[in-house]
Amino acid sequence: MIKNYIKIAFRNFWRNKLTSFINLVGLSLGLAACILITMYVSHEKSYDSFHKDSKRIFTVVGKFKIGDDDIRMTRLSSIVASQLKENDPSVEDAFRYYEHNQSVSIKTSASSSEVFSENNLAAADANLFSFFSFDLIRGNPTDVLKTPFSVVLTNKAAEKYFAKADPIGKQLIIQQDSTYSFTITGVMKDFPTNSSIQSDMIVSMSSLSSMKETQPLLASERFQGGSFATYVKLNDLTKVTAVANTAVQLDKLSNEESTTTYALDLFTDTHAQTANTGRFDYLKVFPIVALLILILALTNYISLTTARAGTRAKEVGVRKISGANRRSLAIQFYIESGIFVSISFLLGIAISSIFKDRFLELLNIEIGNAFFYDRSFITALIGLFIFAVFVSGVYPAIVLSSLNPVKNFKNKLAKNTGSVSVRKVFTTFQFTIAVLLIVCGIVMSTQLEYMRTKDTGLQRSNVMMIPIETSIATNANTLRNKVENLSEVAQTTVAMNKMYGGYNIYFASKENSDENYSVSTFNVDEHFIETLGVSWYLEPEERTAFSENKKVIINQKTIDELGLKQDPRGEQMSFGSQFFEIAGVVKDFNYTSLEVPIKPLAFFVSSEASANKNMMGTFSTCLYVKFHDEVALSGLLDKIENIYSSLDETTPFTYQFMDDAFDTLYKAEERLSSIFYIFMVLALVIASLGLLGLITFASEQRVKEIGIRKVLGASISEIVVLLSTDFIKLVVLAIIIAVPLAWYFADSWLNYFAFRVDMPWWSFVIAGLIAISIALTTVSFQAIKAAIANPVNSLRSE
Amino acid sequence: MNTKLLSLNLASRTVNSGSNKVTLLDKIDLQVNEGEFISLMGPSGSGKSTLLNCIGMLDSFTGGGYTFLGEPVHSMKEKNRSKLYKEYIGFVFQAYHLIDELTVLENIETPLLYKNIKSSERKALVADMLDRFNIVGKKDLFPSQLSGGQQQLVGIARALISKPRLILADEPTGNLNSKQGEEIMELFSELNKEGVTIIQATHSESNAAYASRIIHLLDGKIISE
Repeated sequence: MIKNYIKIAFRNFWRNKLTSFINLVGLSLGLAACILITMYVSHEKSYDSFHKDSKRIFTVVGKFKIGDDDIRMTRLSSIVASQLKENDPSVEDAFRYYEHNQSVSIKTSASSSEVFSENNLAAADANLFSFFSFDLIRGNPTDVLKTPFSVVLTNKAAEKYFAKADPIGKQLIIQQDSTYSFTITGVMKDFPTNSSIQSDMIVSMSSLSSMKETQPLLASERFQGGSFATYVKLNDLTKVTAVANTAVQLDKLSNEESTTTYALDLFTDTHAQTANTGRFDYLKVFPIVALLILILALTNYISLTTARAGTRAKEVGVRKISGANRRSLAIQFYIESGIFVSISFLLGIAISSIFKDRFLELLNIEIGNAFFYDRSFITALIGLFIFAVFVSGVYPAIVLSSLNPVKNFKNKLAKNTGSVSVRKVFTTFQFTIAVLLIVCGIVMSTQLEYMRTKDTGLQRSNVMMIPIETSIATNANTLRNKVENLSEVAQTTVAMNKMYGGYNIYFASKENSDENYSVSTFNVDEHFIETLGVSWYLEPEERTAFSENKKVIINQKTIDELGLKQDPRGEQMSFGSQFFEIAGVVKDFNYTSLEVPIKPLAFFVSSEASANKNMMGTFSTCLYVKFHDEVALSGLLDKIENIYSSLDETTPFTYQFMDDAFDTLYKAEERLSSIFYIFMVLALVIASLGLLGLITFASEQRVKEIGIRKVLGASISEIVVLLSTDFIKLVVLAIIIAVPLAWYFADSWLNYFAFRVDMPWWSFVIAGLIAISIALTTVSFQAIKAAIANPVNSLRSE
Repeated sequence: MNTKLLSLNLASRTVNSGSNKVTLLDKIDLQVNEGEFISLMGPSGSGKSTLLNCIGMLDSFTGGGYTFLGEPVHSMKEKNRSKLYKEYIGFVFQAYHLIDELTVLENIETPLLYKNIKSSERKALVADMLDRFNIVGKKDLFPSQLSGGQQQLVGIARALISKPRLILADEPTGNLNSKQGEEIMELFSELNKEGVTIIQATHSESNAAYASRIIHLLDGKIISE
């Protein structure tokens, strides 16, 4: 029986080559898009779930409030882990992890001339391999991180430093301010891509207390915030709040006035929480869009299958008379859909694996091969498959199996008026989605363009930012002078941070007030404001006065937010416990992404001499180099690099242009919009494929009518209009439905940006024009073919 | 041979066409014994096909009584009714109604599939049938590769494969030339001699003559026998 069904399914596909082809291409493309998104989404959702005890592992998070701001501390002091374990019996085990976010220089031996720069150095407690389920390839899991100055390398790092040689027992010379020699005690598999803990080499936690650079991290004896990500493994899952309360009590014990509360977040949820705080949640949008595309492709299948119901009606009749009941017919059509979806699914997998790398590159994520065998991914794929089979089969199974044999025989071709209206609904639905996606795509690129070109109150072109590490030490002054003397260079300035690369936050209040406000602060030298073209709102009375000690420059927003005088110059403000006199006010400018509104800001300004001495070489800082228009960049870069390398041999030269740094802020949006464009094209292709199928079918069905009309004197164009109008009406209806929907979605996306464009009304016009012209092209192609056919042939065949 | 196969007792069928009530069959009284060969004759629209469809339970009478093998069909549920016709009735159509995507062999086999008959048994039954109709050589061809007469042979073979007690044939020779038509009629006589009851609707006097009983219909009424 099944064999019979399969046979007839294949013969049917073969007999209706065009329809089958349209179905196959549309469905495979739709499924490919879905598979890619399923891959992305399930990878994101699977973060940290591969640990054997993932359901019992929690991240300890401290929370407190300053003003209206909720502050989440995910890094705690070094004693938190051990104290929790000692004081709460529900804590089976605790673990600390420290990420060393500065780059360090590494050599494989003291004499080696090859220096590597490593950014992903971390320190972990000795129980790393029992607490989590990472795979150690070489070494004893309980011992590798026990002693000071032992280090475990990932496979990747081991290969990088030692190629094929056995690294166990070898030394790594790690250079910071001082030089330390670490012994390699183990090699582990690379961290899975869906692990939120990522590193290339992990040193033992006990090493930190033996190095003077990291000793201060461990100094705090208080239960409070700090530098260590702290995890606990509970033996009783009902005690989550109890353990959090223990943490609060321990915190109170060490500091009575503390208002910090603690929470245990399930480790597997941590990634989603940190990745998307306050941003537009693309993880929610992608599955919806993928689902829409899939439904689009499936409706093609459904509508083309039911469109052929007339031709299948005879078969249904014969089968019913031969003894088939509705159930067996429904099964037959389900098997047909099943086969069809299976083939498309395989094709979809093939297509998605071709585009996988490109897609991941767009999303800027990495997915390890191991993930593709992961249960969560396989389950998601199976789910997708079952969903596709179910949806594609359900409507044909119901409609086709219900056909009445007598009526079918009598009318030869059942007109099935019911399913005609269903197909109209489908076409409308498809074009609604297509128009919706086009509008969203246009809105996104408009907003992106707006953000890239908006005057942010800061001149970011022709500025190069060069990170200066402490390794340059006293050469900083020389470096700056030499660079400044280059003919291409207009001006230089120094700040503690790269622009768009972070800033400090202080809690500030105005004089005689206890109310705290968070204020972003920048430590800069006296040339900063001028070099970057920030405009004055209220200039300091004396040009040089603002770089004096205990003076501060604020932005307009600070006046509004803190309720300062309209001219606050001379007023005092407190930052932490220190008071500063307001020397001047700059106009508001965007110092971070345009997604975020401008907040109160303060510049602590040093004189150039003081900056060269006390900032550069003492802290990690950034040298801003403003160069003239139209200079030869590569030549300038070479010159600066030469100067730099002669003065700092430890830290390699790196740089970033300020406008690039600014553009990088919108990488996520840029990625989203390119993915949307892909979806948009896909939706259009699938929708027009469906339309092509329907118009082909419609003209086949009306071939006799067309013949008669032609014999009666209808012109070709009249016939084309006759055939096309029905469909174009649907597309117009789709546009009408899509406009408010698109408005709603695009507007709520735009609302995530503090600085946004108005809803571009012309995007609707363009989307409408695209949809109509694509529909017209598709429809008229077939309509003309039907219209120019010789009526004699069509009438004779009847 | 005189067992009563079916009887119609003032059976009628009316349908609503727009606001008009149209009577397709008007108080038909008919007894059919097993082993009979009946021809229904009458002009187009006289109700021949409707009567066949109603007897075949593809349609139902809207009034009167219909008893098949002692069972009151008119008061049966749809499900039991379809069980009955699947078991005892075979259909032959003017337009053959073969499934285009299936070969001759597969077309004949289809009713057996729905009866859940084992594969080996199915093969044997189909082979017998092919043999009997002399179409073994055509078993792997598709309907479109056969002549009309051959297609109708396949149609009859398919109707016979589930060993029905009654064959209902609606203009079985309507699409055939006279020679092919004659062959089909000869086949029907033969089957009738083997004990299969046949009711056929036909326009042709000569074909009607093969039957043991001729019933004339006009405007849904039996006008003569």
